[in-house]
Amino acid sequence: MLNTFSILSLIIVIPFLGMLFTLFAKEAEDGSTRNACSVAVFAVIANIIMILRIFMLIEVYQPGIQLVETYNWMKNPDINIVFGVDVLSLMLLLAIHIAFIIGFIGVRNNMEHQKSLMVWSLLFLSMITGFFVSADIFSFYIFFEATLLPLFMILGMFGDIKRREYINRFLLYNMLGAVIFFVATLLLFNYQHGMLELQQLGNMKLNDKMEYFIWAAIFISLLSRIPVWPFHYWISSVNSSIRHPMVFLISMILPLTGIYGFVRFLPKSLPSIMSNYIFILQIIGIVTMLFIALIGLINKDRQYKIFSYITVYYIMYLLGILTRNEVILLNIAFSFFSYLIIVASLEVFSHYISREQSQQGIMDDGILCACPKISIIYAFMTLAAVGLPLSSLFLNNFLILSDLLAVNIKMGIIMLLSLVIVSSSLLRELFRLRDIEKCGVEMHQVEDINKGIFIFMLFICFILLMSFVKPLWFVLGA
Amino acid sequence: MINSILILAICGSFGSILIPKRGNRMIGMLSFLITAAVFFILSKNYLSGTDQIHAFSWLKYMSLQVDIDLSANARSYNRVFPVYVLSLLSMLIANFNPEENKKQRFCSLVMLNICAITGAVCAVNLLQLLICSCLITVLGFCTIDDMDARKKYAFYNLLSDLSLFSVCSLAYGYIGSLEFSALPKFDKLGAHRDLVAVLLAFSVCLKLGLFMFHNQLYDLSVLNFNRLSYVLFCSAPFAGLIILYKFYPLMSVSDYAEPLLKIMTILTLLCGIYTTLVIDNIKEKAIGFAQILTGIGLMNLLFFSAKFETVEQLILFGGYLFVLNLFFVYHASSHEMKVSQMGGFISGTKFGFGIITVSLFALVHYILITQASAPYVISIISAGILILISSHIFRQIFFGTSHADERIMALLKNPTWYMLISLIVIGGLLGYPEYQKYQNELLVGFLLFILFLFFYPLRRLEQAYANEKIQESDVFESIFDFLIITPLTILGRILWLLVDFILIERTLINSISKTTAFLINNVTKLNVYSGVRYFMYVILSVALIFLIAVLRGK
Repeated sequence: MLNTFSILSLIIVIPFLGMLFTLFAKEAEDGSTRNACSVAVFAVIANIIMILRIFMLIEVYQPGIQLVETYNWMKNPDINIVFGVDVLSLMLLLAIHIAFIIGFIGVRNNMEHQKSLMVWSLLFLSMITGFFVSADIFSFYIFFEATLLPLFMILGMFGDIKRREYINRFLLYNMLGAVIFFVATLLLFNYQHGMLELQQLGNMKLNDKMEYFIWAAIFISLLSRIPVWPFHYWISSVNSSIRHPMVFLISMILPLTGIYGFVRFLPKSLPSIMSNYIFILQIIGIVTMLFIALIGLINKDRQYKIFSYITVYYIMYLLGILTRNEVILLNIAFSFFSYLIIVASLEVFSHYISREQSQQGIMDDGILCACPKISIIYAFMTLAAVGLPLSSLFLNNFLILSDLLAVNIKMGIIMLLSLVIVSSSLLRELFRLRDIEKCGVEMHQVEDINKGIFIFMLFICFILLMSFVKPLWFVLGA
Repeated sequence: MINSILILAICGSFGSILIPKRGNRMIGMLSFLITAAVFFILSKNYLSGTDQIHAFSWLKYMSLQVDIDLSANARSYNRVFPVYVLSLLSMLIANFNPEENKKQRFCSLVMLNICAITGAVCAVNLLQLLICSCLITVLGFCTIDDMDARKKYAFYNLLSDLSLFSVCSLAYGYIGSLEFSALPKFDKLGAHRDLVAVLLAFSVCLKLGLFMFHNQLYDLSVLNFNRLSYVLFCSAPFAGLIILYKFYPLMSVSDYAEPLLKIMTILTLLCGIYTTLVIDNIKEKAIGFAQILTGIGLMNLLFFSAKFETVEQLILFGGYLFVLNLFFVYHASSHEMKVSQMGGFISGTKFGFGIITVSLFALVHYILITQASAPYVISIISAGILILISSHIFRQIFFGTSHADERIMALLKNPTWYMLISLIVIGGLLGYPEYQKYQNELLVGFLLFILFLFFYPLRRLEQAYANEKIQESDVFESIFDFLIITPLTILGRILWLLVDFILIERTLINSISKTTAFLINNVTKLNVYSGVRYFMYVILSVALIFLIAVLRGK
């Protein structure tokens, strides 16, 4: 080990330790597992504080990986594990952690497998943190695959009768991606005679055949995580079938690994072989966007609408990344921050509404009129989601779209159309839920969120608003 | 300017968050007084003639730099003041009108809206205007307190903002600058000029509620008169005017955008005339009249290059004045909505009719002033149309046989003090400038008005009030539904059921799954222990090795 203590390793370890504590958390006398939930929340908050500290330690606008930590794992073959961060990975980490707290709030009263859920969620958090701080291809691969295990376990716990089918699909796509990525890693290892840091990948020189195989393998494996046709099917099955906010949240974060992979792997100047791939990818991306947006528009299931919104945005970010523009990459990081928080909030409250609806045995039309606190938060999140200037999505979408429209007008227009459709779909849903004419007497049985959660969610809205005013407002001197 | 915006933004934000159980009117009045004080200070600054520069850097990283500019000069004061005046009057009415239940919230929203409008007026870059336009949309959305009206307003304005968003994105993508001063460069550096200009025209049409997109405005008729007039003149339509003005250089990059906007303007004017004459609902008549003034104002701007400030004041003050007149009628008739159920009101509200007539001629006078740049005939025709329509409506309300029930006739009222103040202020603002210039024309106009009241030339149109099809028809809603919503829904359903479900799930995924199951089953069967199978594998393996050896030998 080259250095003994480091802050990046610590943020991987904290959720892992939290997981161990949660594992040993005692159940209350009534059988509830609130302790587990409290330990999990504590671990996430502790990690958020550490991430904020890391923000203070790095030069936020300086390109490249910073705070590099290197650990020698094996001497022969010589394999080093390298960690490092930049503003993109830190923004994503912060957003994921905040989204997790929102998710935990959503499931705190749900006692079904709560302890196991907390354990696997924290393990996922630890692995995804490791993934975002990985700075070499080997640790990248390890964490890329390690994120699958917790989701696999959670799917097994919470799926309905068709869960075997979803798990099969999940494994089919992700294991395929994993194997291909493993082959690409081995090829690179042999070709370069040693492990590669992600930063060096851009300058790597490969022969034509090698280039062809390696880029194809990397593209397919990363795409297997992103809801791009035909790889979207496992995510759509999981997201639209399993009614659980944490499952939704974790499966929604998983495509981020694919998107992030593209940021790290795509070289600044594209080899000629890649331009063909990128062109095909752009076409597939655009078609999927419109396809999913239209299905989201007609589908009456709220969760599917949120899924279609997620898909359209993920693909937009993917297409933005393919432009390889430094300003856009930075703005994608800022945009992702709001996007993840908004989607987590929408999903948690959507699930809360569905649960109240099924408990009271009522229709959900006009249900928000009976619970004004949720109504305020849900309306804010929807308006922020459609791109109004309430979060960093607004400015960053503007910059991404301006570049994409200038590069390829047809692609830009279809993307805009998809954005309009998913936005309309979310707005229609909001209006349906707030339709006062449909709010009957029976709706007044619906329980609103308590004051503490309402204040916390108002704080989240404040964070989003501040991210619009200045994306790095919490970093002194940024 | 910056201090005034800060004060209004802070007070407005607090006011809209607070939910007081008591003191609704008190906080509302406090908001009114703060806004009045801010207006007073700004007026003093304006009169002192000093320009104030308030520009600061908002975002600065890598190659991106975005500034916020709130500099105050005579031009920006001229554009913001009409909004201040209307906002103050609306706040005053809201605080004393018993129809307004959420006085404090309305006043707070008005304060925030003033900030957003000031930001839009002072904007020197695309992003500042875009953000302010979106904020005006959100605040308008909050001001509208009816779900159906809100829904349509939100969809139309969201579409408009997204169109503007695309225009700004395209402009920034090609010229690489966010400044308005760089927009003329788009003609040289830009591409897809027609698309940009048409998208811009589309955005303006949606915001202003021009012909084809006017349904959003007519749906506002469920609001109370005060909110209705505020949203009509100080919310999204006003933002549309500012967008048109600021982005005007982009209109000229295409041969289609300006003619398109001109056609829409004329159609809006005609649509407004139709509504005011034929529709029974008094609030829809008010909206129709707002459309007429928007039509006349834009016609002056687009055809005769009139000054933006005069056009703005015509639409804002003129429209507000007429809506106020109808508000008075509505108040006098104990909230009767149908003009067909009125008539003979002169017996109970002579003073009201007098004040309406005077204010009406202040408006006619201002139309003549606005049209100074247009040919004289056009000015006269515009004023004539206004007199004809007003006389038609007020003839039905104040003269002839009364169709109102006895209770309404017995309770007929004169305008309240806050309505009178509003009428006097707006009437004065419209009647005072160049008040001696058009005396002859006004005299002729007045005689014409009396003549129209007496002869009632368009009396046949009264029959339309009884026609339910005309009163209830929503042609454009059905057209949009037929042309856009239905095809999208069908396409979505086809994609979902045919492609997603049948093709991918039932065919592709199932085939893979069945093939895998088939292979596993057969391999399992092959692996079951038996002497015959063992012997068969040995033979097959030997045959395979032999085959490979033969092939290599070749």
